[in-house]
Amino acid sequence: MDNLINNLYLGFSVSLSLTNAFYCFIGVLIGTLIGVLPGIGPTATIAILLPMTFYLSPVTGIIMLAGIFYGAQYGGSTTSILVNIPGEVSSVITTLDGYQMAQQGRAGPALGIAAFGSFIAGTLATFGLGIVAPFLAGIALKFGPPEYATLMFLALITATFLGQKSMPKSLAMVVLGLILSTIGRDTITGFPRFTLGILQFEDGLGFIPLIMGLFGISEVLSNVEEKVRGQIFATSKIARLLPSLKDWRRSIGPILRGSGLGFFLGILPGGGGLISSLASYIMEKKISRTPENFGTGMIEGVAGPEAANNAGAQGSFIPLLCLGIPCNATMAILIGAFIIHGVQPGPLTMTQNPELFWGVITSMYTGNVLLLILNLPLIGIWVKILKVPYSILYPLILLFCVVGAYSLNNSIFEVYLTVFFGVLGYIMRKIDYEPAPMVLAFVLGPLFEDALGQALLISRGDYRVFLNRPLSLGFLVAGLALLAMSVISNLQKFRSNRMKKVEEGD
Amino acid sequence: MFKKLCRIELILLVLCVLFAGLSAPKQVEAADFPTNPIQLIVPYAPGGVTDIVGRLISEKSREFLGQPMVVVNKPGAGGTLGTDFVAKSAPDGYSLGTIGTGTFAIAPILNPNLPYDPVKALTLISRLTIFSLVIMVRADSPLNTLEKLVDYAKKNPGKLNYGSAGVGTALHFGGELFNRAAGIRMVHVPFKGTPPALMALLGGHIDLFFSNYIDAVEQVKAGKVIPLAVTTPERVIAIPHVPTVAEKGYPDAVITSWIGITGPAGITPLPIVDKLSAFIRKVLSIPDIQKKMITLGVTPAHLGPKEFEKFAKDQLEQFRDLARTANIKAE
Amino acid sequence: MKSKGLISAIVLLSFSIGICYQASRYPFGTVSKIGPGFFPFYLSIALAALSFIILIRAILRGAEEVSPSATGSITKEKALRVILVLIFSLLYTWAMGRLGFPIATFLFIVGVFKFVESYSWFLSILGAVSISLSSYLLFGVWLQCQFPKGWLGI
Repeated sequence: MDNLINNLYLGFSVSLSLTNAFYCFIGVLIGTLIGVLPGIGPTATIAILLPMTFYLSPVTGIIMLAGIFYGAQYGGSTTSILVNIPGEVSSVITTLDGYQMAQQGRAGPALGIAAFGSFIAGTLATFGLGIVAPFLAGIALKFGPPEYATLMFLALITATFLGQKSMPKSLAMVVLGLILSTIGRDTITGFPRFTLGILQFEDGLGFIPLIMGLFGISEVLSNVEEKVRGQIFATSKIARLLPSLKDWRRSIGPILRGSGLGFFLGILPGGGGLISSLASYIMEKKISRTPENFGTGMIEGVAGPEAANNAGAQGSFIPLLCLGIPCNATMAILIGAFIIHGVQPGPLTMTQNPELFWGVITSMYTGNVLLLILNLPLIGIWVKILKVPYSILYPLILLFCVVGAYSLNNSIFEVYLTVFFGVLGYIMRKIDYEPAPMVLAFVLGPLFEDALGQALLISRGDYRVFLNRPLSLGFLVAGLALLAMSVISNLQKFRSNRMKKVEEGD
Repeated sequence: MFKKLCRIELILLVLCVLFAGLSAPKQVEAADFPTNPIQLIVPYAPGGVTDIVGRLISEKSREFLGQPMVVVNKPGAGGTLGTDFVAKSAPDGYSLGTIGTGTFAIAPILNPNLPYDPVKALTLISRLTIFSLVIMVRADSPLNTLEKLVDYAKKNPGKLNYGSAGVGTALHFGGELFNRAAGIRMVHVPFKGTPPALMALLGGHIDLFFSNYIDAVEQVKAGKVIPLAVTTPERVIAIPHVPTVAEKGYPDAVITSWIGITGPAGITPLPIVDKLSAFIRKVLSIPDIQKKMITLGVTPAHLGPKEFEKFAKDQLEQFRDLARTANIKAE
Repeated sequence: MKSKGLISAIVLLSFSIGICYQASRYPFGTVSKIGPGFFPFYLSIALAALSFIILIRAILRGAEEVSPSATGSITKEKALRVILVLIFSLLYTWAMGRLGFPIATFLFIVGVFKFVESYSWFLSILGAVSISLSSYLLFGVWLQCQFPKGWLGI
């Protein structure tokens, strides 16, 4: 414990230096603004600003880039709430209830609770990092392909609970998402599947075009049906910009639970943020007294996932700082930044460059504080933006989507893809299918399939490998149990509905 | 209203055409080259080795060529998307790209419908660097020398797992090459990129890993992994104590990864190519750049256009040959 | 509303049959090395089964299927607006690659403001100019997005 205090002191002395704090602020500011522009996620931003960091000292440069990273995380949640466009993988969950809240005129409290929730989660996570980072890194390593495969299986089952409407439809969306995720070259054999000879499909469908289209553009299309002259969101008094006491009482539990859940799930590479927010949402839905209201603007559905994904984001720094292994694209770029500065994170960083290690960790905390200070006043501005007449707002939204989709990979093809998904999403809305389970399955699918393939390769086809490892067996059982429970309860509901209708007379 | 529409559209159209005419590219004399910024297309996401090397080079462009060189990332399809873009750009010397083992030698093998023919559609301007694959095992693995590894593998065929960053990557080829040269059979477990493979290695889920040096440098320094051998003809400067596969008696397992600069075929006027090559040679001779590259695990190794072309073609043959015997093919 | 569920189920069913067929032509591999066809094949079978269930339920539910969301009916006016916006978005995308970002944005905004929202010519052009200028400054200059260069070289 003594050591921890020393380390934190060292860290804060680094991260609170005038230069570093200043660049942290710049990073968080740029990150938020970028995150708010859909599609231009942290990856693109960091890439654009990477050359700038050539002129800064390594620690400063990295602090700024890390600031951009979680500033953009928060900005991504902002667009999820305001215009139903998730800016980031992990912000998909926030759209479910966040956007509903905005439509009911409660954008302010939604944004506010997201900000506070993220802040609290970030604080807890920073301390968590300091205490258990190396230990957690060891746990992450224990996760081999069999554990990943069963965990993803469990996650996929829970993804079906996201849907409010009929169970078979949600399941169908999950399966559809899985099928779409098989487009591209399969990892295990390198064989191109369903690519129709188009080079752009070799890496599979782009995720950002998928969500921008399915959520954002389809929302625009569906709103555009009627000509409206004013704004389409209910307004609220200025006083209601922040979450009320009642909101707080409902949210504090989800926030705390989400932080814990997110932190531990975040250390797993390849989906930490998404899985964290998904798990938190499902947990809150299950323990809530009114689960059927989820999806109509329950603040718990924003508070929990937001806390979870912020904690997850910080958790995902663990493999980077402790092992030197990046677990997503943004981290990989951060490593590039480290390298350019002549520092490479790895197992030795903690002992050889403690000021770097602890400096970055404590800057996460200062970053969270700055984010809060920055974003609370911004909430007022965002809400005002919603008051802009929709007839002017939606072309701007489309513009941002186009720019965002293009900037991802400098590719016009991806913009066409986004528009295509927009149409698809629009049609799906019309016939009562929900995009969220499909998107989640799309992301989790490759992770599941790859892990399954690798596990079987390593075990030479012996499927018992999933059963004789404790973690793996646990996930598998949990997943099957959940599946069984939900199928049974769904059948019961359907039958009782039918009974009722028969009684009422056909 | 329709008439008003037509009129405005007409005016706009005329304006567009006028400006288009005014901005037609002018023929540049080689002596003046470059008079505009140059684009360097990196066909991978930012942050990787190729991207960093490209940025290091492009930074010096303003100083030595008088014009900035801007890195544009166009990732996709294992680097072939961006390379195709370069191949189809105007051959005026302002659209350049990076080229490497994957996009030149391996791509045509994996994809019979590759939209560009690497030999015909590209001008190879200069080679920048070569780098090695490193065979590595976990620190606590009992197979901590190459001899022990091969020995075990021969006694237990098909028992060892080796990881790679994906099917058809240079790492995969390296592994199969070694399999063939040492007469052993190790099972290939592909991952999506290096980081998950590295984690699997550290976690004990796979036995060994063929890696680019750069991706595991810190693990080596921290003693978490043991490099058994390097695959280039010469030892790697950063880890001088590690023998080459040739030294250990497997000269057929030698494989070199490389990065170079390329442009579309038929760049005119021709002296531009030489000018660019000279620029690159100059940058590569700067001690600071060399130092940065060596820490990256790549060795600066300039080759001019003609030598580079020969080198690359040899590589293509080597990989084709290997693909045939190891049965790595496109479907 | 029975038709909605019915049509969607049939579409899904046919899609899954198509995938099934295509996937069956890919190698299946062995248990120790899963081939590319394995996953999509069984997934498409699952999808077919699910769409079948949806189909049955749609038939059983009959005329009582009440959808809570405001899906409503699709009138000609609504469809026209949606299609118009769609066309403009597609043209915008195409134009961005050929005419360059600022001009494409200008044309897009003019198109939407004038023809979809029926603002006056003056307002439309004014809006278009200000939006394309500011977005060019924001994205092209400040954020250094690398837009394709159009005719005018911008």
